[in-house]
Amino acid sequence: MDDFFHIHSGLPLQVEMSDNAAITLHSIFQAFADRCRRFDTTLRERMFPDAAADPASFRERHEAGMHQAVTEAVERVLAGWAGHPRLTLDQTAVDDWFVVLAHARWLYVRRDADDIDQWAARGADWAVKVSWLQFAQSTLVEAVVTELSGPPG
Amino acid sequence: MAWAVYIHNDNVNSYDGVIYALFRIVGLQVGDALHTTTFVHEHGAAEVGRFAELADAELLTARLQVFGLHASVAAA
Repeated sequence: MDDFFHIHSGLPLQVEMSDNAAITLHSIFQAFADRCRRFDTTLRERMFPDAAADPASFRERHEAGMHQAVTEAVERVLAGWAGHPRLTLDQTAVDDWFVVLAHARWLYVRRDADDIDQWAARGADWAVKVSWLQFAQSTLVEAVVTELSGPPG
Repeated sequence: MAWAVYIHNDNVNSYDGVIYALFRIVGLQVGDALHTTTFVHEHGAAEVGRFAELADAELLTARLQVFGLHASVAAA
């Protein structure tokens, strides 16, 4: 059976995914949670690029808060989801999932990464994971913002 | 002096992701968020807010970064 990740539109969202997709996403989220707690320089710079003419001052004022917000989001996601292929998301959980899907990508790529789709088509593990994270995030957004989903059929 | 908040194009965030962040964090309507996202894709960056106080501009910048975007603040 092919992998799938499907969400029925309308809050609260009903999410269904294949067993393999659930196992893979959950393991990525766990890896991201671990790395987010360590917050090494590589991940830190990918998550929060320089944001002002004086980036150090901006980081001094805001980086701890931004890091805490993302860390709390991934901890809430994992606390509410043990990796089951079906789950329900309210608006708060949708935002948490959005944030985690966004930042988990930085485990594997920089923002200037090229040709992710081509690498994924060749089977590169990191690119396949990034593509799945992208797909899950877009599916999530289109289930909430229905204007973005394409016409039926 | 005013302070402007910008979002910047990157190779990883999708149209859907940027639109959702602008919808949820900036409060743009979906059509305006789509227009802004297209502008960023074509021009590299777009202003998404302007504030009298630096603290307010930095707060929006930080919230957009939490949602995964490359946001920045600069004197307008």
